[in-house]
Amino acid sequence: MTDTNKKEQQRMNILTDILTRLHHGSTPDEVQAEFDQHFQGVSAIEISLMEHQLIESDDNDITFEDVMELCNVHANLFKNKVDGAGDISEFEKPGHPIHVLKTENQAMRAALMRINRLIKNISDDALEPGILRGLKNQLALLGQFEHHYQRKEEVIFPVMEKYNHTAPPKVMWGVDDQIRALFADVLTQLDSIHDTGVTALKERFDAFSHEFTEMIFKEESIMIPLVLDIFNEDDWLHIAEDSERFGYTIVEPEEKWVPERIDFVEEKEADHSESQVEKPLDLNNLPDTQEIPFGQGFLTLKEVRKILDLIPMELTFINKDDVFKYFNNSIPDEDKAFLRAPSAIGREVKNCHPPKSLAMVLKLVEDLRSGVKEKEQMWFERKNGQFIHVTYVAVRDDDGAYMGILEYVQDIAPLKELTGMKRGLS
Amino acid sequence: MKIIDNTIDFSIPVYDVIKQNPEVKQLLVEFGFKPLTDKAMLNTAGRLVNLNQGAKKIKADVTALRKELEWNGYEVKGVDEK
Repeated sequence: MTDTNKKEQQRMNILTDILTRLHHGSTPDEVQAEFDQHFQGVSAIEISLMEHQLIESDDNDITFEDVMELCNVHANLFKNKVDGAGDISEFEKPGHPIHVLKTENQAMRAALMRINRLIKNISDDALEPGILRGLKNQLALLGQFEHHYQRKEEVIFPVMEKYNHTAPPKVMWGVDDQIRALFADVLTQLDSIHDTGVTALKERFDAFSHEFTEMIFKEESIMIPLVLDIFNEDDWLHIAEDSERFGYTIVEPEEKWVPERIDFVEEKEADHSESQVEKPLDLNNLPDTQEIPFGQGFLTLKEVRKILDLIPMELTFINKDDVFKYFNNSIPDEDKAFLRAPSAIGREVKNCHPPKSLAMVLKLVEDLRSGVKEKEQMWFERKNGQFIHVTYVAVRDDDGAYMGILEYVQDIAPLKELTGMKRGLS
Repeated sequence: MKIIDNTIDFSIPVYDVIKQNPEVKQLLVEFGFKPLTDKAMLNTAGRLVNLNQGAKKIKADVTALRKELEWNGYEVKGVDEK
């Protein structure tokens, strides 16, 4: 064992010990000194990786809740240590997701201070309506932290998870939810202040304010250094893009973050999406439950399979090399307009059609490939009463490059027969 | 990163006030500074006029504005109360 490894193992043992003690009821204060002594100078990432390992491991009873407790201990250590975060110029640009988070944190701190000042200035015998109104205003403003948290949880956490940092998001999310509950308490107290009094409000606000401030600190001293280390520029671009729909807290970004070297980024992005499209063979090794980015969200492989087999159409896909690659299985074979055989997968289109229709098929493929057509539709009745509607559509990459053809086939007879309306349950 | 400062200075241009505390704009608009919703106005008149002058323009009581801001937890300075 090398010296470094030995040291790591030692730290791991100490961390296990601290967490186990927390698990068995020690308070964070009791373990602080020991934590400080051994983890001075250890990076947030390293600590979070260790925590992750301990949560995952079966030979201890450490839980998320213990790590959540350690969160405070952890943050306290960093409080004195992280003054010079180093040179992070790209992330300090307005509009960069990190800049946005930090600016919001400043604005939230300022709002906290305003509320604190107001709460200090009220007493039960002099409930100035103007102050109560202002307090409500300021709490509503601070309540926008929900946007900040949601963005963190829905946009940043998934990327952390993609890089297998699954423990820190889970832990943080748990604390976020506690903070949400504490904030709801504050609002309830304010609504009933005439009955329940100022002291109760102060107490609730202090409880909230404490955890809330801790969270700001955890984000800035643990989460941000961690993600700055592992996310690449593409990740940040996606995060910036996805952020808008969740909205912002108190302050809007002054401008849209545009990283330098756009051409390079676009090229990288194109590569990226292509590698995702062409990866499916590698994906065989992925667990069925792994979340994969799709369109506007995420799906696991299993979900994709199930969904494709529920879409009430016969889907068939041939790739850019005219190779029959995929068909779904939502329609029972006996009802299919075009019965496909699994054994035909991998064959070229020209080998899958009878000579009499071959010329038409090849012409259609050519027109869709070249862009003469984007889509072709056909329909016909079958003897069994079905009215079959067929669409062939060109599939193109974001940059317009031809990727293949999707065919979708649907029996529209039942739809054609619909009249009137049905707006209730069957 | 900006320094946290909850002080509203009535003697500096409104534009600078809002730059420092963007959230205060909504309060000012609700108080009666309707033109602030217009970006162009904020960028032109907003750079020339301070809150003392602005209050006079919209015929509002500068003391009422001071109170409103204090009731929202701000510290206030430079108020021209005669």
